[in-house]
Amino acid sequence: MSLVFRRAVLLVLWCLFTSTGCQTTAKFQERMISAYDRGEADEALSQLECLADRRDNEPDITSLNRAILYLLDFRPESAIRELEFSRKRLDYLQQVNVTEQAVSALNDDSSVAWIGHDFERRMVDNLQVIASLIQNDDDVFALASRGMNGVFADERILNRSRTAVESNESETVLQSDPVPARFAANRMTAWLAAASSSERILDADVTDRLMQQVAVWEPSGNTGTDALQTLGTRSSRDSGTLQVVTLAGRISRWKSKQIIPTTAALLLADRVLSVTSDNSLPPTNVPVRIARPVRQHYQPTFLTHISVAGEKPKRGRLLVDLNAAAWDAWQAGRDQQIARAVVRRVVKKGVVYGAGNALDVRGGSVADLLLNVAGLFWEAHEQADLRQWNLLPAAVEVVQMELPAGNHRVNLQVFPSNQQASGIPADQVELPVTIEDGRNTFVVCFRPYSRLAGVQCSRPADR
Amino acid sequence: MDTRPDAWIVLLAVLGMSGLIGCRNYQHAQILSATDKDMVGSHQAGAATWKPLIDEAVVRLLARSVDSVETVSYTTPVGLSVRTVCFAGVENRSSEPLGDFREQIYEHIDSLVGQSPHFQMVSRRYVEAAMKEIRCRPDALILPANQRQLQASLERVDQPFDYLLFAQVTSGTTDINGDYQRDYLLTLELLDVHTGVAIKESAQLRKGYHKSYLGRLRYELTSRR
Repeated sequence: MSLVFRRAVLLVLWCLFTSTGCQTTAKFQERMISAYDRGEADEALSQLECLADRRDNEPDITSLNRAILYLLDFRPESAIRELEFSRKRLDYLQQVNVTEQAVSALNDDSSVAWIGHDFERRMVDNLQVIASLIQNDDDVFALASRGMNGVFADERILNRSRTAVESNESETVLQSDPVPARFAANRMTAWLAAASSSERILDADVTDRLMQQVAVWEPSGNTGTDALQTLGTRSSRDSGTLQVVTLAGRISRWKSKQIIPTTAALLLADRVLSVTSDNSLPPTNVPVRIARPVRQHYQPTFLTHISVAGEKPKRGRLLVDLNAAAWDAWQAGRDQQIARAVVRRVVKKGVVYGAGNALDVRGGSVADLLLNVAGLFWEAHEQADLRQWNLLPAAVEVVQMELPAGNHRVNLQVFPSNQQASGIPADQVELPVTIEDGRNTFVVCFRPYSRLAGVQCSRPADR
Repeated sequence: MDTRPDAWIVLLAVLGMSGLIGCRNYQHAQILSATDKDMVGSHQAGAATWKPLIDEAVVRLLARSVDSVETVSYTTPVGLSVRTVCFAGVENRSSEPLGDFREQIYEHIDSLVGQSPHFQMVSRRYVEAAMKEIRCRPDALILPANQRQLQASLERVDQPFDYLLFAQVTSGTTDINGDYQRDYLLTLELLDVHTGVAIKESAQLRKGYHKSYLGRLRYELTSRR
């Protein structure tokens, strides 16, 4: 009896210890995020390193966040290295590990290694291409091609599922239906690959095909692909293009959500079993929780206006809404998440019930009460899996301009979204750029909130 | 009590099996020797498809062009007629993306044709720069006005040409309940820019794609009949 009591006390202490640790980790995370929102890359990096030292830190997410901060801090080569490392890790971790799955059945979803959602993994590829474009190196083609391999694989999967729906259901799903928003990052991959190939005129048909892919992955309500066609050698003679890519906002947080109907059903089931069997089951007092993104769409509070001397200012066009991608990914995986949570509860209750049987504990005894309390703590310790790539932007916006070859000064201004491009901007940056004949000059800027945190150019001109 | 050891054995067996099945594996690679067969792509054409297609199409074109082609750029001191060729790239009109194989196809064709004593290829770097300068896509080079512009641009760097070489990849798909046959056709077209006469040669390869090993087995059994 005393042994059972001691174990129950130890379990409570362990729960308290781990939850305190999580709070400290969360504090570092909050500090890092707010430093990022203010555009302070150094401070965010130092907070991230504090976070990396924590025992309960998620190393792969830290690595991806570090890559974003390197990009913000004008260190594209470090960002590429970090992203490549993460990419290999995620590829490896995507393989199912049964031991992890078994542990997760006794604990919660966070016992399984974090692999991110498909759109997050695609964004790893996209950010590698962006970093490579800023560096102006030769790996752009290889990185873009590698990303496209994933996009074509997704297309095959999507086509297969559409065919399956067509053959199984009376309601026809047309090929022309918009693709689910969770695939939206593929659009950016295709656009970056098209931009890369557009500088080689011999590959003009490849660029056409890639632009078709940009259209294929366009969720409903997004900017039409026609507005994204000003690329490389598609410009007039003696002209080039300016591509301003804005990584806007920060992706929606995931929060814990109670699933009341499932909890009620489980409570009903365990009460029936408790009444009909010799010893009781821990009641389902702790609701079943799953993780869910807070926002459904990207709603910009601020907008970036880009102008070149003598030209009318242009506003960024939405290339990818990652909030919508996260929301759709959650919806697609919601049933599985609930199913896993239910299985976990059943396993936990089964273990407690089995332990009661093995120890010959009778219903209504003190031992039964202690066993149920321990079971309750065990269930209460279960948390929704809120792990996510925190510093991923909420959206990616693009502005394209065809300009004569030579040096130009680009003016980037941030205005509140409800205000016209006049008056005093919230932030502004002027950047000298070089436009080369038939080539793309990329300007990549981070706008986590109202500030232009990091503005970098693939072909800067002398000031 | 007697059943407990059995239960432990079963539990250990289950854990052991799950450990074996569920372990993560690292990727491995090996160098293929010259005698090793090319790997066959499971979802699209790869080395095993493109290499024989290129070899066959180029050999056919070279064999035919020795007799058929009339315009000669210059003759070597030993009396060998040489034609200068501007390779305008590989056009993909198939239902598959060529991916990084596109560059390989270009380079293989360029090297193989260039190895023939009767042909001299204009460097790809000159061709790309000239086409970029005049903003002309390869498929628009069939127009005489564009040809003249390209010729003028290449003449400025002392690289005139007499022939334009076009390569085109096409495919045709036959679907049989999810399994499918895809025919790949590589066409090479050599166009005399002075006379407008073109010679065309192609090579074809058929490939079967099966959703499962059973599908392949079923195909092999039915095709033997």
